[in-house]
Amino acid sequence: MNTWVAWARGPFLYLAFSVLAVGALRQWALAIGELARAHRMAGDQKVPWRWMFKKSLGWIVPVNALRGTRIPFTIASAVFHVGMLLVPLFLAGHVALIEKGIGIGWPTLPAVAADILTLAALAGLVVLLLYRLFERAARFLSGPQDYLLLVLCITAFLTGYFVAHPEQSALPFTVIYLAHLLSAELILVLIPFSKLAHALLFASTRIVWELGWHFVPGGGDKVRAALGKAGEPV
Amino acid sequence: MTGFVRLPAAPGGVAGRSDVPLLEGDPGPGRRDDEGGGMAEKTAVNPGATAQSQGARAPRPPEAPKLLPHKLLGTSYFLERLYPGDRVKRFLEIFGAVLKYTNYGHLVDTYARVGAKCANCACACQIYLATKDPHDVPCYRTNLLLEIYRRHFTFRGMVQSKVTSSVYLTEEKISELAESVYHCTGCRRCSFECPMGIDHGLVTHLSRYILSEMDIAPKALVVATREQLEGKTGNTSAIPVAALLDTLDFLADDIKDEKGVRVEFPVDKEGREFVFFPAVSDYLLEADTLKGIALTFHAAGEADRWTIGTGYYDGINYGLFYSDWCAERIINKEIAEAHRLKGQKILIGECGHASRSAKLFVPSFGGGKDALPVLNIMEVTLDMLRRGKLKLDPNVITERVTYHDPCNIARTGWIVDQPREILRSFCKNYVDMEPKGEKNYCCGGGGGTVSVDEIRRYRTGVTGKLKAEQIRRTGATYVVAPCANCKKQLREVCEDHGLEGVQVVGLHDLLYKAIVLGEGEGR
Repeated sequence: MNTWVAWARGPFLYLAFSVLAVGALRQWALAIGELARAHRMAGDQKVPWRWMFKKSLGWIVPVNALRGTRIPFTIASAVFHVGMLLVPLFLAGHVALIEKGIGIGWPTLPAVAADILTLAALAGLVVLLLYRLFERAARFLSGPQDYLLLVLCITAFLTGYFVAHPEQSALPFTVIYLAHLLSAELILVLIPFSKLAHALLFASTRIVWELGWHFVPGGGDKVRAALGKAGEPV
Repeated sequence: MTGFVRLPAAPGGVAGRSDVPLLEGDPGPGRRDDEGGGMAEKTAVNPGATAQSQGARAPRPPEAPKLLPHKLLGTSYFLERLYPGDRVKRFLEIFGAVLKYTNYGHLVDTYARVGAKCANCACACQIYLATKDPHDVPCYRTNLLLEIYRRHFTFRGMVQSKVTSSVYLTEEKISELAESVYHCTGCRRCSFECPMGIDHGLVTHLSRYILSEMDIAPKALVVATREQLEGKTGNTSAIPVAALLDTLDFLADDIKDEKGVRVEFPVDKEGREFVFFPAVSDYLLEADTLKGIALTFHAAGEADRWTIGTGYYDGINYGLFYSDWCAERIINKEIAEAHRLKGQKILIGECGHASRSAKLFVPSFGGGKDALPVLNIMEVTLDMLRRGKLKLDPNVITERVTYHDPCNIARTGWIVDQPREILRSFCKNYVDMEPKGEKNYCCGGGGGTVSVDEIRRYRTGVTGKLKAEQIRRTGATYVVAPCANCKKQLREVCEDHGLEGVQVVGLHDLLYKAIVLGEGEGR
């Protein structure tokens, strides 16, 4: 078991981070290149940056979305995301591990704050899962990926909590620790390849939207020419 | 999926109705059965729809093309024809060409990656709220197309197809998409509810565009667009220039009778500030709106600012609903006419989609930042009001007035406060609907569906349901809807929901009543 932990703390961790880094760089490079191309091809190159930033920021603090039957969903989602961003990055144990690996450290969260954020994120995740299971529209849309990713996140947070509080856990520490390492590494690896990619592309989706409406002059004619329909009437 | 629009199955009557040109006051065969009967002569005509539907004034098309049975694809709207070959292969060819030559490639790719399926959009969608059918959830509709992309245009999808040696896309999936995208009114309410920034309205537009390239698009839209782009009259309602000039004379006489003042509709005047493009159907159906606009310019003493061009006078652009190719050609006609008349700005009448398509596409297809500016008539009227050029009598409109935001101009916040400021300045009893402005509900006839007469029951019963309730709650006599499509749809909604006594009017219809003319003229 200890060998497994050593592997998970060592090579696997490096691998997971490498996959994430390469995947993220690829997606960002693609996004920037494609956006530049779309902007170049667009007939109208004026882009309302301020409006777009406002709309994007609106979703980072989604107070405007607090409406109707989905208020619990919005709150749960926001709480979970705050935990998901802060705890992995600023937990003392994580920073120590990274510092040991690459020699760079940064300020950390107090243990109590990390605990609260973890439990809040867990509660948020459970609410999200309940929505997926019991709300008609969400259940209909959901496929295996949608459930499995939620379960994976729950696993990572839950095991993380017990790693910090081994005395509350019924399972041996090594088992919990290994589960935590592996689930977290799996999340890192899956970010570029699953819908978790929204973590990487969130910032650009509204620019994509805006440029989507900036049509390409002559594009329709080219499409028809490629289909062998040039010159055909409506 | 197919058939979740509950429509009467009456192929004989239905096909007959569409093929026989309607004469004014003469409902075609099957019409009464299909549409509940008793439609006013005015609303029986489709705003900007087909060459057939406007009666005596326009020439009949020589021979209406034969309909394929629409059951072939399972769509609830009529198709003119259907691509005869391998439709799956054709769909993928078209999708591939579109991804290559337009700006949709990266958009589809990004959306296919980030879609989180949170179902936030469901609560924003008035269609889902009315049907509770999960097939109507915007994200589901968007995913119909995104999944085709994932399976046929990404590396992973191709590997998957090789491994399982299966083709994802099938004839049934094309049918489902074809039906689904015309259930959506393209109001884009859901787009602004998506945390991921997925514009479901744009993806629906893209799906419709791809389908239209294989001739899957409502016949009503295609026929009108064909007349506009390739027909003799060059507009969607098939109004010849002579008829247009007659109509303008007639409207001017009307104003003289009703207001006691001679107001000209300026035609083909060069060098004017505005070249005016209303939804062309207004010339047939919305006389009061046009009279109001002319009188407003006249009363402000600024009648020399605008002109109507006889080279091209139609603001309608169904390309926005289903075809980028058509959209560009229509916009180019608009730009060419404005340049011919040496106009400085393009002025769009009371029409939501005409305004938005011009605002969006004139810069896109007309030279970016050098393109002519586009204004909606309400912006100009408000400007005249603020400069004190208009005198309005606050004692004319005493009934309760409410305002319906057309999605195309309100969703982005472009025109929300302007009409309210105008209305509040002379309507004593003005109330707002809730929700309103950028978060309004669609009239239920957006995205071109209002022109598809065969789905009227769906439009008024499902998509227009929440709107009917909203209107009822306001208790208003006048519903101001500055959009040709909204007006037609809301009249049908009010009729089918028993909202008697509600009058659906344009903003300038009310201004026409309330304008006080200067001393020495008018009455």
